[in-house]
Amino acid sequence: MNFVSYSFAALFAVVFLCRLTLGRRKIERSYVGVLLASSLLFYGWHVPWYLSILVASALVDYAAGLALGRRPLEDARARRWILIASLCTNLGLLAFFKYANFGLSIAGDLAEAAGFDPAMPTLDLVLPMGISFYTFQSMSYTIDVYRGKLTPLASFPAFLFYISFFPQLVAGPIVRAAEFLPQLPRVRRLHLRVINEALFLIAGGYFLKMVCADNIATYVNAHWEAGYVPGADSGALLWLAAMFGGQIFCDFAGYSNIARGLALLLGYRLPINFNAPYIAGSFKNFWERWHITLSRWLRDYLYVPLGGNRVSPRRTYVNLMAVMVLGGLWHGAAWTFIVWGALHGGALAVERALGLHRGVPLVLRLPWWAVVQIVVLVAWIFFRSADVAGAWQFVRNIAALEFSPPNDVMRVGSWLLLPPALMHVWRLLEERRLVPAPAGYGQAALTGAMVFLIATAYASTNAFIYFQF
Amino acid sequence: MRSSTSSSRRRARTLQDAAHLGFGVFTAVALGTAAHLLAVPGLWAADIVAYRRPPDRGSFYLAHDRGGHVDHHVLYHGIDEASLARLRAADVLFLGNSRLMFALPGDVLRRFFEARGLSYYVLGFGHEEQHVFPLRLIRRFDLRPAVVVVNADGFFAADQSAWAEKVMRESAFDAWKLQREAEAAHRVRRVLHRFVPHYVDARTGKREFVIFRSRDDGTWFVGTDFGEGGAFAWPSDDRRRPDDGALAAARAFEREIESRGARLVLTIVPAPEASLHRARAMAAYLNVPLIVPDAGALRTIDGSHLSEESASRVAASLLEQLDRIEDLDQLSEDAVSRRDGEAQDSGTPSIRPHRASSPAGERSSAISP
Repeated sequence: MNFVSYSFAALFAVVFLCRLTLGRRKIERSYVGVLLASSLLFYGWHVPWYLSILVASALVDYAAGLALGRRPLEDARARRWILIASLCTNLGLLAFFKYANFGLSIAGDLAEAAGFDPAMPTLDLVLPMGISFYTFQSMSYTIDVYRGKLTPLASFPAFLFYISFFPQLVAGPIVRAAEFLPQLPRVRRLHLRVINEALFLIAGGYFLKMVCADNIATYVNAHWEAGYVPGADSGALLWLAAMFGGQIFCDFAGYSNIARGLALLLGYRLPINFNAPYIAGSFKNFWERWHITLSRWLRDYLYVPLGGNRVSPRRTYVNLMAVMVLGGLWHGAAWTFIVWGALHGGALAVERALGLHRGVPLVLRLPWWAVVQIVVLVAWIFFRSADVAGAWQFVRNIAALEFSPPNDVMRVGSWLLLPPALMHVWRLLEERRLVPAPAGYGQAALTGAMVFLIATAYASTNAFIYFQF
Repeated sequence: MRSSTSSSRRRARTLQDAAHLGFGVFTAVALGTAAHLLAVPGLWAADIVAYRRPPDRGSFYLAHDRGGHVDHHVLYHGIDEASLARLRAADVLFLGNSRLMFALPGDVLRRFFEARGLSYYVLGFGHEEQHVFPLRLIRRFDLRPAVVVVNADGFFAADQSAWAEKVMRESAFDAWKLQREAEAAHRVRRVLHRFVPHYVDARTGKREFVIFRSRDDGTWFVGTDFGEGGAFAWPSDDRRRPDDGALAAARAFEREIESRGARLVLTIVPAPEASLHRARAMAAYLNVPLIVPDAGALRTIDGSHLSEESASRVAASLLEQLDRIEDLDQLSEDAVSRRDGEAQDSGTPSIRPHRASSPAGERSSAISP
């Protein structure tokens, strides 16, 4: 189910009504039952039988958690095997649905290069929505139990509820068990203050998605492929890349805001996922602001176990590259995502080599901010393009620096970048303690204005970009 | 004492929160009202508000508006029983792109075919759909019409539209969801934009095609009022020829149609993009008749699709020529005997189609399966 759909509106209306009646303290069994059932309906609405994959994945991790809980920490060998079995199941599901065709195509290319003429099959697979998100969530639980940081859950419905809680099920934030499970027994009544905060988040999310991202998408989708043609105008392509940078931020941050707002209305707090990423003054800081829950996951469950920065400098760079390339691959099975991840990994490595990861000197702050944003922009070109060759041509066209004056389409389209730009500037001023965070009447007025703009300036709906991941 | 203070503080905080919530609602309503009062004249004629509804709403379903293109899904997945029954019963099938759909108004076709006791169905599609998708429908539902009229306006090609690919990949459940979503969006937007404008459309001047599709005969009812439109004339320097791929696709299509007991007739709906020269070459290659509607001066609403008035004349001319090319009286008799045979096979009494003088209600039962 998509947040921007009437079926979702109907489902949420019913669930919220249950919150107001059955679940006034949030912990009532009947209310939790409604939340679990509606989460499964939310997921099954896409392709009903894919529910079985979700439940199977949850069952494996639930069982692994129980098995780990029964064995003392000293029984390291058995515990390790349980963990491996769980990880293999999760990663196996992910690999099959997400990477099988990519693997087959690479195998075909390699065989062809070796002089064979293989007829590689293509599997007719529909990627289960949100599989990358819930497998990571599921894995974080098992790993935390393995590490002894978490007590395994005795109740399977409670565990399934953690995995399938619908606001965050298909596109995050990736919520860790340690953040979510303690909320299960906590009483939370619905106060007006919470409603105001939630409505602000929800209106902001829908505004970013339906007004900004979807309107920007009409420009990006209409013109992006012009960038693959040699000799295309540098200025127009630079503008397109900036538009896509705005679109993907509005799309994904919009989704995350809606998810957080809905969860808040239902009695749960989800972690923040975006914090004005384009004001980041360093690559490290960018990943502390962009898709924060994924960055944290990669850091804690991949980068640190690989040795992180507690190994030799060379090994640290290898770790950075490996984590970022895998992060790129997490987004999709294509070379463009691998290049996107590699660009970020390379940039993080260079920043570390220059010592800028510890802090950027005052004189370098503005130039380094510009470097960061340019690299991020170039990486978006690979992220958005159909293939690496097309993206490379796009970049070469920009690098030719042949600019024509901006046309009407560019001038009008650029207005759509104004709201996310203002949000970033406000956040920057907020961090410098020059302005307060929106609250009270200001927040209410903003909510009202965004609702009005959603009703009058929405574009034709596109699916959320991150649904495909 | 302390508890009464904290309770009054709590009450004050609740009041303050309620005031904030109220202020948010007030802002949205105030902006909406201001937009309503200060609206530029003409802004309210948004297509979603001002469109004409089909005369008999029960006989039509929403096929297209900004909420989505629905009829590919409805027909391919057979989720509308009435449409499917009519499609299966059709003696004459019309195939083509959106230009054909605009060119064949339901009332003109209905009068013509009812007078001859024949059933028909217009199985054209938007998205510049070519022959692959309708052919899949013909196979899927084992359609066996007697005549297939094709708008040879780029119809024969090796592929289907990206939209059709998506439709075929999806399930009947997806089609059902899509239709419900589109209808809900249509209703909500129709009400919403009576009160507030849609600034994006107002800024870009983009028109919205609000189209309904008839369950009885598959024709489109175009709700949006596009007005008179601009004049159109066939290009004089048209020398385009069909490529080898199109010819091969057309030949394979013709064979399949004939194997189903149907005759193929080509036509060409006047449009700037269409090529009369290419259609003639295609008809000569296949050795099938080509109907070129002769309807005098024509107008298009958007430089591509015929205006309502032009469409009526084009359809009338097309049907008149079809009547001359095909022996429709004989076809009618054949259709009757075929239905009689089918009825006897299934052990149910047959209903003969009624001729021009018969009431419409009886005729419709005659062509129901």
